[in-house]
Amino acid sequence: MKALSRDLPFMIGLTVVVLMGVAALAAPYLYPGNPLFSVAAPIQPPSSAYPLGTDNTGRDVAAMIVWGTRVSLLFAFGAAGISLLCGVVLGALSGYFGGIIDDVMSRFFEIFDVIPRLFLIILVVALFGSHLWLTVFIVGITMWPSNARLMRAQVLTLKKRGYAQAAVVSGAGHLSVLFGHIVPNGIGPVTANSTLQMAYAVLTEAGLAFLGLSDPNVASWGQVLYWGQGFISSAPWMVIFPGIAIALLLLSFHLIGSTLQAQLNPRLQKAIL
Amino acid sequence: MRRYLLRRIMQIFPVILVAAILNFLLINFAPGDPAVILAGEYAPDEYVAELRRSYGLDDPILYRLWVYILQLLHGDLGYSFAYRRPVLELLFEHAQNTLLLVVGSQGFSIVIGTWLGALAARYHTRWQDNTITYGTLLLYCLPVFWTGLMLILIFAVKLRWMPSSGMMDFLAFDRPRWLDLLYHMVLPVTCLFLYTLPTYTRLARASVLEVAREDFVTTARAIGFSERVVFMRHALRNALLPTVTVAGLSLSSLLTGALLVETVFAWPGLGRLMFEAVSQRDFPVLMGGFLFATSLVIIGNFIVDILYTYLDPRVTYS
Repeated sequence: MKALSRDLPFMIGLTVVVLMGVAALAAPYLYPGNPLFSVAAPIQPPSSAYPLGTDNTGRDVAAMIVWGTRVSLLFAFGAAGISLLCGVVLGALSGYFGGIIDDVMSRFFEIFDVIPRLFLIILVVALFGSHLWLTVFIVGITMWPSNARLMRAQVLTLKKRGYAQAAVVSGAGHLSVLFGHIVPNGIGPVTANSTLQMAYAVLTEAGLAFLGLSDPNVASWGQVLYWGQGFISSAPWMVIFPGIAIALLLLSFHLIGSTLQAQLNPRLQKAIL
Repeated sequence: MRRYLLRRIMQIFPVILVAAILNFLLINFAPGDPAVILAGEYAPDEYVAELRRSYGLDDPILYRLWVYILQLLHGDLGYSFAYRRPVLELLFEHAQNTLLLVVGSQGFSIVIGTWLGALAARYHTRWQDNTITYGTLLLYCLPVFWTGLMLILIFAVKLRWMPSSGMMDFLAFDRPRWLDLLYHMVLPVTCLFLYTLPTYTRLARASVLEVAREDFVTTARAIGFSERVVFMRHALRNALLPTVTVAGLSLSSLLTGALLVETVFAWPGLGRLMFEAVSQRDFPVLMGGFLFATSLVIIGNFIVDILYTYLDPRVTYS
């Protein structure tokens, strides 16, 4: 097993994510004030004062992108976190107890796997309103079946191992064996999958914002794109830069995820995609 | 085989039923009066009252679910107040335009993606492989709607080669209709092609690499077939099976891609219909669209399963 710190793609991905995290935390110091207020003349091309130009109402595109990092990372960690939690708990229970619980849950995973998620999310957000936290929750809750399936498969093999059997025989409760011994040992593939789900969550947020379904009070990358599409000929910088930010973050999560996958499952040779 | 088919058909219904129940629960638990949500904000009171009566909105919830499902079984997906037409009619009409984009782009994606992936596998770990692998990863990370906007920026705004949106130009009298349609299709089809290309490239690369390790490939090589024959006739051909599976399984992501691409290019398909329904809060269309997309995906999966038995005689179902 090669040290992660020597893996170049992994380190590049991690660096970008960390830098974006720093930008998200430092946003109030870098760009004080609400990024959605106009600060300059509208539609100014990139200049030294406004490195990414200004939009059609005179807002600083750079400020909106730096503040937008917060939304994207919130979706990445919030939605993938919800998906991880649901997936691990439901998948572990399903794999450990088997029988009718497993049958019902497996059917459930299958059904939720084929439902086109974005269509469902659009309907929910349009009905219930585009509040930031609600959207994070919805995106998270639609992603968990793949985590559950991975966790279930892990538990199915690990529960037959000696240490798990020994813990049961020595009188530990089923739930404490499951979540104290089996899940921590089998969570690897789920972690790798979570990194890819982070990318998916960022992409979904951007897509929703691009369809006009994001919280209008918060600056996000997809939202700048949404506002910018009507000004593509007069202010192309409004669409170019947010897209680069999205692509960069997605790429980083994929670089991290594929390395983790290869490390956790050495039998698979490293598949970059 | 017949019993398998029957069982497989029976599996289609639970998924559609779950989608229908989700629709029903969402509309009932959303803030506001379901009758007003379905009728639209500016609907006359009589219409709201009529909806309330036909959906039995004053009845108990389980009875209403039953009524809703019965209506679905009759093909009644509700009535769009923005278009003033039945939702099912709208969906079928727009689905044709989506199909046009999807068929056009997927043909290219599968052929070119497989070719690129096979090429990468053939030159495994050499520069050709690295270029293709990292290139596809980069492409995979571009949001499809942004790719679309960039295509518009370059080919419609800067170069003025292509129209930026729509499906037809009614003032273009100098060329026949079909040519005008093709002309409008170029950018959206390219965009959707770029969106699905990485999936097929990655898949073809992985499965050719997998097959290349098999004994029959080594045997073919040992017999003395040329590298080209070994590659084309033995490795690539056997590596094509997963492509068929993925083509079916990725239908859901394909529809998502089409939704965003149509929004960018104002292509009057299912996705554009959904986008307009979002901005007008035309909920019958959104609900119908979700149900319709779910049905398309599940039926697509079913067709792939059946195709598989013909492509790979080793697979038998019982």
